[in-house]
Amino acid sequence: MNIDSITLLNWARGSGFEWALAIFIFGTLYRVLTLLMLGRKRNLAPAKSAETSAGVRTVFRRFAPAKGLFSKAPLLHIAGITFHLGFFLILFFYTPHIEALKTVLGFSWPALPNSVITATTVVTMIAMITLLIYRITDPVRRFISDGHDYFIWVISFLPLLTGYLAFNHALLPYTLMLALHILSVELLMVLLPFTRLGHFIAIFFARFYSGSDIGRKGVSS
Amino acid sequence: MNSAVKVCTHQNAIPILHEIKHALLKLAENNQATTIDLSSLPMTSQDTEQLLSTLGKGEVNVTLTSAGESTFWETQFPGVWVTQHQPHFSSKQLTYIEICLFPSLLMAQQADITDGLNRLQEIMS
Amino acid sequence: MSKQYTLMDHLQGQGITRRGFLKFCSITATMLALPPSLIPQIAKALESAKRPSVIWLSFQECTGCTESITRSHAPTIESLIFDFISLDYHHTLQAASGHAAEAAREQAMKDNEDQYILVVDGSIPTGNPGFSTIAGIDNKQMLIDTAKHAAAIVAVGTCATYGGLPHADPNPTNAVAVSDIIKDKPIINVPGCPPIPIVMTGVLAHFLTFGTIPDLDDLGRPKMFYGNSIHDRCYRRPFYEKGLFAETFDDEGAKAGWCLFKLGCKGPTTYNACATAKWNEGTSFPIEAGAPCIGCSQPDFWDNGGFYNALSQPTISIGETAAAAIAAGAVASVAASAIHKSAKAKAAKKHHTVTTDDME
Repeated sequence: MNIDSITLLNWARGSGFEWALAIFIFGTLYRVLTLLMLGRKRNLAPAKSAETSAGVRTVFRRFAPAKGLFSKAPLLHIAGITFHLGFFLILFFYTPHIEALKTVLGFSWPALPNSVITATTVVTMIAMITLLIYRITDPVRRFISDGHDYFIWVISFLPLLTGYLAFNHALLPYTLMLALHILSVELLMVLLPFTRLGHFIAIFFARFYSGSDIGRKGVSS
Repeated sequence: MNSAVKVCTHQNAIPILHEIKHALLKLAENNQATTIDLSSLPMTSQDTEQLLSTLGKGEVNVTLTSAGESTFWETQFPGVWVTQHQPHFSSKQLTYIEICLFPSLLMAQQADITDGLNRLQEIMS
Repeated sequence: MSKQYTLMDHLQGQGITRRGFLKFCSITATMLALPPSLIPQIAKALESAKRPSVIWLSFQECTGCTESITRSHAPTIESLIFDFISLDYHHTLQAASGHAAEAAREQAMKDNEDQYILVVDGSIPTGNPGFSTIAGIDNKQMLIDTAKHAAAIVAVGTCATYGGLPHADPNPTNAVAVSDIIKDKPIINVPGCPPIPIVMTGVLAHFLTFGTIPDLDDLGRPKMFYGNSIHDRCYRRPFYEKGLFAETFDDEGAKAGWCLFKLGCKGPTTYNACATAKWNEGTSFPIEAGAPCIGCSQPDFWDNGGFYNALSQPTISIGETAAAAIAAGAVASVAASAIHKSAKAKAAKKHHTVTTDDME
């Protein structure tokens, strides 16, 4: 029997997900532990103020754009924040996603209405496209971008696009589109820890490091 | 929660009422007939009941006894007919909404007319 | 039962008028899921339609498919056997048994060479020919022999179409579908566990009416019955769109008839006519009775990770995989750090302190 879309979907929900989850957990743990085990050189200078609390504060404070930077590139900030927030909402507050996460985590929480998720998906995709256009047209951004940046844009965009098309029963038969959606998420899970997308976890360590470092020196973060 | 159930049953009858409205418009303007096969549509028995009670009953009632019994009636909206077949080879009643001047199945067929003519001549000879 | 005897002859024999015949045609259109506008074409085709000889073979099956077709209400099984087709061999329904039955099959095959329809229910074991035999003939051999001079094959039920229950993991008999063995004949797949009675009779009626096999989808199913997903035609669809889901089988949502997605409904990925053709003379279908669709007309539906798990849920157990991944991640990072540290130590060792003395 040739491979039909339901077989592909079954693989994506079974072995495919198992491998993707295993690689994601392995990769994330590997990146975090090796990062932590690098250690920090002991700072022999006496601390001027508490470093831990300054570090924790910085982790949260930097969710808001820095003063002055926002007005210099408002579009970049709005699109960037919209994309990250939208992705988070879609991932964690769409009913079928909560059902999937329940299998992994063992608990669930209330969902947002489907209409809100659909609208969020459209807005999130527009934000991503805006960021891509900005990256290509702005000379400085284009100069500092390489293939890796475009690659991670594509693998982040695919789950949104396939999910949107699957929900609306568009372009391809639903079963195949759903299989492609799950596979695109699995691709993202596999590559997340090993690409620049690793910032999903590394950013908290980076913020804590810089926050605690400047805090120790007595600078209020 | 009860209102939600009501909304749901309403929801499946309403698109068909719209379809009937458009078909009736076509009949009025271009004399074009339409048949809607209710058994091919996703409807609960309550949906069908609700639809038929909305359409109501009009002036004409016909019974056809050929290959099982069929009933035809014009609804309170002239030009909108309900046809129900109880075929001899089936135990399920089939319901159609016909939007036409007169259901074509009720008209005499050429082959039957010829057959009847022969029988009449036999009686008279 | 003469081969030249047409359906028209048969109906006229019952004293049915032209008007009655046209009524019959309009009902046939409904059965074939064709629009009423095609009634004149159906009438034309049925005027000269001959009742085809049908041979029905049952292999590794539970007789559920036969049980289902005997509940056909349009046409009824009696009408199907006497009006529409000539059922020449079906070892559950026929009166003859043993050698007489096999003789009837051989006679029908001879009389209607290259004309008869072969209906198969049940999967075919390929592990050991002895796993399933009829009159001393193993299933595979009987299928090959009977298929040889068939005009077309109708595989009925998920076992004959995709292997079904016997093919489910771990597939002890190495069961396969009809299409895995027969490659040179048109095969119409009519899956379902069991298939809807009027879908089975509808496929036979299509063959009788037009003498051709209907349009098939990529899984070999007639598009007229399997063209829409259960989800597309579900009367509970508005609740899915609104995000109103039953959480358990007896909560308020379940009582109010909300969407069964969270209770494992496979409607979105299942193609069948349940939502419109329905069951038990058009009374209801599983979702209308409050049970999620289990996807019985799709390949390998037994192994789709549980009937009551939502379609978006992974089908594997996460615990062991996650534990193994955590262990591997921990070991790998400790090892990587050790390598890193030793490299650092080696580099430090190689480092010589240079003094001004060395520079002289």
